Amino acid sequence: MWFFINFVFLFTLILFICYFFLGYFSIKKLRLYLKKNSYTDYNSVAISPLSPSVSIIVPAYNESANIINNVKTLLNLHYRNFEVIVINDGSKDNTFELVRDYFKLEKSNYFFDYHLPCQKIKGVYKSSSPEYGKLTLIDKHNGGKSDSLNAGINISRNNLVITIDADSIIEPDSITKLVKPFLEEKKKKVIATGGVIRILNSCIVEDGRVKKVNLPKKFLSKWQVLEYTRAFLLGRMAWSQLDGLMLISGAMGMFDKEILIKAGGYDTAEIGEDMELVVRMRRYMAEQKQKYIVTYIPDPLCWTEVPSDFKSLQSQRVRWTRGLVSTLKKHSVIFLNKTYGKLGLLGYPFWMFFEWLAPLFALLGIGFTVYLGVTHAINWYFFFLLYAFIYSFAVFMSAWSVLFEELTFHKYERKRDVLKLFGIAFLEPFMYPMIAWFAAKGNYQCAFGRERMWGHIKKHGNGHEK
Amino acid sequence: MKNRLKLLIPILLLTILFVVSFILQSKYNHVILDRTNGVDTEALFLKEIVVLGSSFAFLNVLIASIVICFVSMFVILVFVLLNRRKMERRARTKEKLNVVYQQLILDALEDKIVDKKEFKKFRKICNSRFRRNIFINQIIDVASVMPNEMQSKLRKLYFDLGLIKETRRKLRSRQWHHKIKAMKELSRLEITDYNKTIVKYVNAKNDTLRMEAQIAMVRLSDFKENPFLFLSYLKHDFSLWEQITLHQLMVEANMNVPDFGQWLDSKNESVVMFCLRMIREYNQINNAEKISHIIYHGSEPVRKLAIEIAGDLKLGELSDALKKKYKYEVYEIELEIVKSLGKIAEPKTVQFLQHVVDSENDTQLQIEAVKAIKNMGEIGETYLMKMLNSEYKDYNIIIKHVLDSRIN
Repeated sequence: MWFFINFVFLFTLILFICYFFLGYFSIKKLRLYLKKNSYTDYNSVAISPLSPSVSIIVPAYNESANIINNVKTLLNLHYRNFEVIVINDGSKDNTFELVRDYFKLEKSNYFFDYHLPCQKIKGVYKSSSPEYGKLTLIDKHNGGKSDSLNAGINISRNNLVITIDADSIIEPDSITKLVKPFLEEKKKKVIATGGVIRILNSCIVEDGRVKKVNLPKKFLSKWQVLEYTRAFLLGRMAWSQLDGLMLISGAMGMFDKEILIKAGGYDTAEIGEDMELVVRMRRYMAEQKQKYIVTYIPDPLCWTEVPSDFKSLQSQRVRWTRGLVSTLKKHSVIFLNKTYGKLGLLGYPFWMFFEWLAPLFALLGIGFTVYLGVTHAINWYFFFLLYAFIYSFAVFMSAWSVLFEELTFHKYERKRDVLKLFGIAFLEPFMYPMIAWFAAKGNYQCAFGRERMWGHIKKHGNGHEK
Repeated sequence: MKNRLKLLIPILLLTILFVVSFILQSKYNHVILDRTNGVDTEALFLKEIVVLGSSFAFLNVLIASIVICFVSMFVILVFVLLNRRKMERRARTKEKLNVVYQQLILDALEDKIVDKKEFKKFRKICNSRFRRNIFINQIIDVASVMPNEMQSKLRKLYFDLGLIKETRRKLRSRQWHHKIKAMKELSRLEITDYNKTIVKYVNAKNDTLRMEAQIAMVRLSDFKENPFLFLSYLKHDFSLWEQITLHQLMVEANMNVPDFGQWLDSKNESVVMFCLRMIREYNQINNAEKISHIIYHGSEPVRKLAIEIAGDLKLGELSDALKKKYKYEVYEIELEIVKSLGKIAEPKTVQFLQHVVDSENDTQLQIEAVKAIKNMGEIGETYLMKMLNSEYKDYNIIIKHVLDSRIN
């Protein structure tokens, strides 16, 4: 019994120490970024003829509710050289017809190579009107998100590609911000860049732009605000500083197309395609012995709706776990392998122990505590002391991320919203068993196999929450 | 100093709490010790220690951590709320001051402030660093929209009020971002007295500082005829971001454009690439001879850019050299050669381009070669017709793609 207690405690202690250091590294990186950013003139790059051209790839499946507004927003982004490629992945609704008719698109004689595997493309549509000259619509057979992204990459004409979700709302200056690391870095090759994803629920959206930022009304969404803030401002920021970043969110990321294609593009059989691609690209660069970096920008670049009901949340988390497990399994050679540098020695082990295994250990711990309670073998004083420690640390980390948000982008202007976030921080630790349960379900599905899917969550349209 | 003292308060508070909790724990630990009868107290983490009374080291650490976490959380909450108040107050003050300062600046421009007493009053409202910085920003904002004569008046006001001391303090600060702020102020007000200090930072290790020093030097250079003189002694790589920022500065400030050919033999590859780009932007065709050498440069990116620029400038005299180079180059440069031949559009290259379409399997190369043929005008069109009817290979799909005006 003492072995188990010692093991669980040691595991938790190491996890907390890791979080503590991640907090430290994220502060370091964030401070530097904010200082640098205060002198950055993004406008020069946005309007310069010397800026590189970028292709924005938008896979769409049954997105008729928002697709027109979102494409219009994309076409109006503040950047000189870019194209938008929308891929209709065999939608069952009228997504394709809506885009084709609204933007006056006609079937063109587009000739291209299938560099990356994807389902057969039925047609590539372009507009004769110069107003929509930047837009390309691909109509293809259904093959999933990765398949659509591959199709878009095959058609794209630029060496920098941005992949986004069709239901995301993009900030007007997001391309310039994402392109900056590619233009700045001199010694290493930048292969991918990601930014902060913010939560759209309850925000007011007008003409495809977020006009007013509100804290979501529903508890589940509110809790995810805290979770996202912690994950993006604390976690990814620190991993970027440590050069161990393994994930660029599927909602928005920029990639070097040449490396993306050389690494094999998106794996159409993967459910966690975003993470798997970054790991594979990093693996490719390390195996080629090329110096590279994956960077991360703490600016909020993209807004997306998160699940606000338990069913959607469960489906999303189960999918995330399956993606994580599948990626870790597929690239197990990286584990503690110094060929892959910090990715192998730090990033991979962290994700394996603290993202994949931690929820499972937590469930095991809960089960064991119940067993000890039933058999009267538990020392309740000791138990409450340990629980108080874990609880206080979890709340402290959340408070830390609220502080980050406050000192950086200050998106929630009302004082009561900040107080609410603090309130949620006190309740959040009680949500963990549920998240651990979803993770366990994901692991179960991984072991016993289930079909991959588009992973749609129940949405209420941009920014609305009933 | 004041700020550092402020920082000490929470640390002191935490230390006191830590010591108090430590003393209290020795009693509390024994309650747990009594309850753990029968359990192996020698297990890991349960070693008994004797510090300020007998207790468990592990339990002490746990209790101390809980206290620290909750106190820190409380400190964060208070800080966040106070910070909000401070920010709101500052925003309000800034708004008010901006109005007052703007009026004062306009009065100064209209020579209304003659009386010494009035001037003193002026000084009084700039009595804190926060206020002085708002005032400097206001002067810069007004200066940016004023003609030269008015700018001199603003400069005089800036010196008379001793605001230069504030800028000097920032320039001498150890913090790089303060230095940048100072350089921005000096360059916007065109004060050249500190150029010797700024020039030191042109080769600084810090990327941002280096870039801002370069921008300031371009704005403030004593050698107005050649504001880019710093390129001659630039040791670090000149990132594309820096290049774009400087180019945009040239466009906006309507500067004298030097002959960028003078740095094409620089050992710094990034300087060569910047100059090639500028030669294209300012159409400096007189550098064709130099470009003809750079297409053989040892560095692949430089070579590729030189070929691209040869095409953009339509340097027809290089078409033979480009054709010869084709088979010895890597794919990316082959593609660039074909694109450039298309831009140069010399009918004598048509056969070569058709050979590319026939012999290459890469789609992009084929498309670019057909595009290049199309650019030749009548001769090109005749060739494309011939290719359409060719029995050797089916060119239909490529030619249709190239001729589709919606695509290109």
